[in-house]
This record gives sequence, C-alpha cells and structure tokens, in this order.
Amino acid sequence: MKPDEILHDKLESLVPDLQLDVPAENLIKRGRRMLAARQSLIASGAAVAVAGITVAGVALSGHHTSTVQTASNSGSQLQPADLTCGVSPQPTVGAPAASNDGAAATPWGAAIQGASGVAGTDVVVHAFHIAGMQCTNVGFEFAVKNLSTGATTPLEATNEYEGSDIAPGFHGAGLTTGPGGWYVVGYYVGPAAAISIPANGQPASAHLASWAVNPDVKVWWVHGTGPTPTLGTPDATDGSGAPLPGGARNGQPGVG
Amino acid sequence: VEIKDARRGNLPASERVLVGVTEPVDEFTAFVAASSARLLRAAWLLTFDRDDAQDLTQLAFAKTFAAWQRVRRDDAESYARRVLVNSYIDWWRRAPWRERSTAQVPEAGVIDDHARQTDERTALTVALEELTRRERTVVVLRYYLDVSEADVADQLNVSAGTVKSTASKALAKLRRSTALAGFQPPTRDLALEDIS
Repeated sequence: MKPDEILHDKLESLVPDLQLDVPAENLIKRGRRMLAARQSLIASGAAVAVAGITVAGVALSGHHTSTVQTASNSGSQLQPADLTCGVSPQPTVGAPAASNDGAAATPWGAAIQGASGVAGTDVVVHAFHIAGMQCTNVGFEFAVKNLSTGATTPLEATNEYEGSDIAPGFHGAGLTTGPGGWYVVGYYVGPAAAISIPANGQPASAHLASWAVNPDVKVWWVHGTGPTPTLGTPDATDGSGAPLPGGARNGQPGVG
Repeated sequence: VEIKDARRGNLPASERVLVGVTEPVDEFTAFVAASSARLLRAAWLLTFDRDDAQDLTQLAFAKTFAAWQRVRRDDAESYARRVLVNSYIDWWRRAPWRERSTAQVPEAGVIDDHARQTDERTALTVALEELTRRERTVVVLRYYLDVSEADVADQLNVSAGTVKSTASKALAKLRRSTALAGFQPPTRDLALEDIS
C-alpha cells in the first residue's frame, strides 16, 4: 500500500458515521438568501449614490401605520406601490448595505441583543436592507456573541422571499446549529407578546424582541441542546394570550 | 419544509434566473447527494466535532448554491471544498474561544475493541490536534481528499512551495505519533530531508 493510502485509511478510521442533517432544500433556501443579500449590496450601492433619506409609512393590513424611517431635509421619496405584494410602499434607501454572505455590514436600526439560553453568550440580531426584490426590503442576521471575548458566530441570515415581507405572521423561520446547540430563528409581524414552537412535540418559548425601525416586526429565537429537533408550527399570541395569525403561507419553519 | 417554487412571478429576477431550463435545483440536489458524505467527513477531520462539521459543510453548500450559475459547469465540489476549508480557517481565527486546547479524544468512527487499533486512533487524534489549522487543512485536503498539491495551493491561495513545506511540517509531527511511526511520506511531494 502506498504511503498516502496508508495515511488516508488511518484518517478514515477516525471518522464517525455522519450524514448531513438538513435536506438540500434548506441549503438552497440559504443559498438564495445569500444571493439576495449579495445583489442587495450591488443595488443599494447604486441607490445610495442617487437618493437621499426616505420617509415612508408601512401599512400592516390596514390595522395601523408605522413610521419606519426618519426624514432628512432631502425630502420624501417613495417607490411606486407594488400591487402584487398587497402592501404599501416600503423604505428603500438610507438603510445599510448587506455584505455578500448575508451579514449586515452595518445595522439598520439598533442591534437587538438578548439572552441566547447558553451561559456567557447572547444572541445579537442585525437588520440589513435588501434591494432589488419586489416585496422584500429587510432581512435579519442572527449571531451568537460570546460576552467574554466579544467574538460573534453567525447563525443565520434570513429574509422573506415569497410575498410581502411585512404581511402579518411568521417570516423566514429556520433551524440552524451554533454554539451550544441548535437555534430556531425568524421574525414575526404583528402585536405578538409571546411565540412558541413545538420542538420534538414539546412547546419551546421563544425570546422575542422588537425591531426599533418598525416595532411591529418582532425577531425571535429559540435555543435548545442535543440533536436538531423535529419542529411543529410556531404560534404567536398577543398580550392577553389571544392567538394571532401565523400567516397564510409562512407558518412553517423554513418557509418564507 | 417545502421548497419554494422559484418560478412564481413575484420572486426577484435573480431567483427566476436560477431556475432555468435545466432545473439547477435538481442538479444541485444531486450534487449534494453525491458529495455531502465526503465533505462532511473532511469537515469532521478538521474540527473533530459533529456540529461544527455540519455547520461548515452546510455553509459550503449554501454558498455553492449561491454561486451555482458560475460553478456548475466547472468543478462544483472544488468550489465547495474551497469554501469549507477557508471558512474553517476564518471561523477559528475570528472565534478563538472555539479552539480546543486539550488533546481530548473524539468519538471513534469505528467500534473496535482491539486495543492496539484504538491506541493508534487515539495517538493519531492527539497528533492531528497538535497541528495548526493550516497544517491540518493541508493534511486533510492532500491525504484524505486526495487533492493535488497545485489544487491545494489554489484553494488556500498560497504557493505550491508553501503547501509543500506545510505538508512537510505536518507529516513530521504526525510521524512522531505511534500511529504513524513507520509512515514514510510520499516522495513525489516531499523532500526526505524535510522530515525530521
């Protein structure tokens, strides 16, 4: 046997039985998000060069309107309404660009930070602007921050790509692994006070935080240990415990 | 979990382009099926950790899909491998707390009660853990995945001479392990005088 074959066999003998624990569909979805973020970088670079800061209101299914971007003296500028999305125009400039792997170059609105569920770490969420998609303007990057060293480990960058990104309900939910176990991350649009998701049949309560730019948008995450779980449909409830809509097509983890 | 139908009209042009007449989604799915075991095992040899190996491999595949238009006609696995090893090097550089400083023995791949073989695996594991990230990467690429020296240099963006010297140092360290006590490095790559 040749020397390099000997070394190959010895290395092979170390490796345990392994198989990818997500289907190719999830990898495709994640790849598409990266692609969208990369194109956002290109598009937003062009947009910032020609436009000032925008004022825009976002109507959430007629319930109310939120101001999502502060005006500068350069005046208001709205994109034409997009009837296929079923929502009002959204802010498109003045938001930071995204890097080419989905990570926000600089936050859009204040960064969100909260307990991860793993001692000594927090989850940090940055919003990033996506340009060039018909119905999506925002994505969120989740990362785990080590509170001792300040080092962050990216978890998932997520955005809607089917229908409006601010339609009431769940968006961009996904399961990933990271420091200390697995994480389910996503965002919800609406007056949610609590979110839970069944993990291996047991309800798991999510950490929930509002996005400062639009408080109707709540980012959420769940942490767990052990093998990645089988997930059910997430539920959202308001302050009185009343159930809120999950969204017509976006209630399932990994969808939307 | 369902797959988005990227041909729906309300998706961005970029995604509609991704689904062309040759159905790259199917093509990519077949690519994942064909190469995931190899890449995952290589990732495990780099990290000695199931979760980290999953993270690295999934990231490599996702980035490969994001570049599918460009890499599908070339060697997609080479691209995925490049992402994987560079992510490994970058991740550990950015997150030093993920480093393992102990010679902790990982789970064995083969249940084997033969004491000598177990000792060999343990010795090899310890020896691999003592390599630098780059040394271990070169060993895994060159001797586990059988990537040519020139391709290793290309994937790590270093010169062939650097690959040669890095492999030389790595193998010299490994040869001190009882698991590879009798191992002679391939002479086509390494000058014997480099091996201590």
